[in-house]
Amino acid sequence: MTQPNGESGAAEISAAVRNGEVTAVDVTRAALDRVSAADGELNCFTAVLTERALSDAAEVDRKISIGKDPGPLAGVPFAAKNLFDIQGVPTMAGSIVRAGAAPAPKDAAPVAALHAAGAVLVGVLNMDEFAYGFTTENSHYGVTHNPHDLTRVAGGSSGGSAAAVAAGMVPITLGSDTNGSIRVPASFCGIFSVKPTYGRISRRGAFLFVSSLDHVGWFARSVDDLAIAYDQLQGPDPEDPVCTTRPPELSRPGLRRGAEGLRIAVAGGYFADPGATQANGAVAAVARALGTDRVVEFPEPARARGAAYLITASEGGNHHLADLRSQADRFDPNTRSRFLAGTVVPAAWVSFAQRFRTWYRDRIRELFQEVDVILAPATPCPATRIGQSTITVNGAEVPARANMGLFTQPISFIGLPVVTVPVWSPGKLPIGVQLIGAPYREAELLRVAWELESAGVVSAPIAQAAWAVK
Amino acid sequence: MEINNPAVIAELTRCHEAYEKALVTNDTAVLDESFWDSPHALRFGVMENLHGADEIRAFRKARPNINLDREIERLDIMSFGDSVGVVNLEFRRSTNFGEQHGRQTQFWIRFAGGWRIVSAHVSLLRSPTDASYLNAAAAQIGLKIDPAYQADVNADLNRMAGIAGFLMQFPLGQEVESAPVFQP
Repeated sequence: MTQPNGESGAAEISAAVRNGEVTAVDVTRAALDRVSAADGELNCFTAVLTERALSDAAEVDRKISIGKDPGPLAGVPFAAKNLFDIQGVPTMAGSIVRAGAAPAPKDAAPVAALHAAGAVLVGVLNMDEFAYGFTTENSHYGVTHNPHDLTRVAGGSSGGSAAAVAAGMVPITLGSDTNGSIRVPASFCGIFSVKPTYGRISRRGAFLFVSSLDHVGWFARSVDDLAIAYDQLQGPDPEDPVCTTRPPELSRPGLRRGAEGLRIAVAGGYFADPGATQANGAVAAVARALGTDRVVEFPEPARARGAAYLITASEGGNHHLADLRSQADRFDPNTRSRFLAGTVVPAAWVSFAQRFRTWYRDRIRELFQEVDVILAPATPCPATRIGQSTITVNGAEVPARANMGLFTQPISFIGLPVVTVPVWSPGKLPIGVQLIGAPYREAELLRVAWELESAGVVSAPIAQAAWAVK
Repeated sequence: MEINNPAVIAELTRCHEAYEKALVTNDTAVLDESFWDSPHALRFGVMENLHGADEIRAFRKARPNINLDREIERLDIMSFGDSVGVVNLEFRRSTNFGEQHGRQTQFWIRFAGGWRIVSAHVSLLRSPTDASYLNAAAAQIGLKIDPAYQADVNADLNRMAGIAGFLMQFPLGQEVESAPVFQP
């Protein structure tokens, strides 16, 4: 490695830093330069933490200079969605309602885990207010532009996280996913992502949206980088009540086994909307590469989506009730009415939805007796235009903002792990395919993603639109 | 002029039935034939305004052949003389987004070649303005909703009600417990 650049992956950077070929400070300065060069066009970052980043990088270099191992992510720049606690900074979660919040006493667990592995936090990333959206059109902090086409959205709610990786600013970012907020922007921005099993990664210090459904996840431009990050992020955390007590399962050592021995099928019916031609084509290309033509049906996916919607509205509304009472006018007009409506959702709807979740989970467990991995589109279409209000699904024009999660909500509803892989076709924007696994089988999904990447079926080349403006 | 002559109503009923069958089977030939072949023909759809037979035909051709099935809840047919008719109906349609409740109005004229629709309008009933539940429930939790936001909030609540109605049609057994389990 000569000089660190946007192409460099986490493994490459870490190896070069640890071997003394480059310093973590130089890598960090280069990342900060890329952010300042492209973020004017993209608006990924709500804050750049120059001082902390250079100080953390210097600490990595100091450890190396005295022969200590700074960790497997030594000097790797990363950034985190604006809902993760960062020590000394108020956590805004894309709002202005929290402007008076006290500075966070310590880093959120996922930020701390990457930091402990030697990674260097360079900034905070834009999102839909309180994570209630699929487009990152934030009325307070502006829209995050898609780095492949600046007239389009990056997806959301972790839009800044996806766009920063797609543009090659940093190799790894953290996001969160309640109904699709990692998978939708990964699809729109043409990059890889992991939304792990519910409870697999600690959420301590992440500002929650819907506790029943919230997951922490991450983005990268290669499967290897996803695996490196995953192996650092796992581990029990008694401070997160939903975090699993299972021991970590390292994914990177077995990555090269690929899809060998795994039973793979395509999700049919609901997930094969005849109107979603590019999405279906992407799933077909992935299925072909994996040599499967088997189709399985999810039972009642539309109701699963509806149940997720109601739990989201109700828990989200209740979470913000105090602020909705006192300062509803300061909420983003894009989220305000849904949060307000959510505060008064009848208990009968939510109780039914939570009971339906048990029924649905049991049926899906049966499904995973027959298969290991299920393929489905991540979004009904590629990135929509900024301000676009409707998309066509099932032959009907439906609101874009609410319906981007058509194919993601029935999956996260019961916490299944998903790796999203980016599929390209000539002259078109990328679109994501979900590799869906049984609970706690993230490592298998990463193996399948690695095989697809090795075969050239999926890839995440750096988006050029923001750089072309220069 | 005779209003609702039984023979004319019977003719219009047959026209309606043929049109409805063609609609749910996406028989575009019959649908095109049913409309007045004129630049003055007009169809306001749920999401589209179509002026003239050419635009109407183009729309039908591009429309995906899915999810067209609907249940007619109420049908009203009126005739005025022997060559003017109005068909109004209310329908429900189950979609991935829950139940849709819609209305359709067709204006039929008998030309030399038979009855044709000269003007049609379809809309969905999305936002009933009755906010009594919203206001009562908000009062119970000490929430005062700015009148400026009330219509949007009520529309969202009605959307949620549609979703909840669809979800709760599912025959869930009494023995199924809630998903989150509290661990003391």
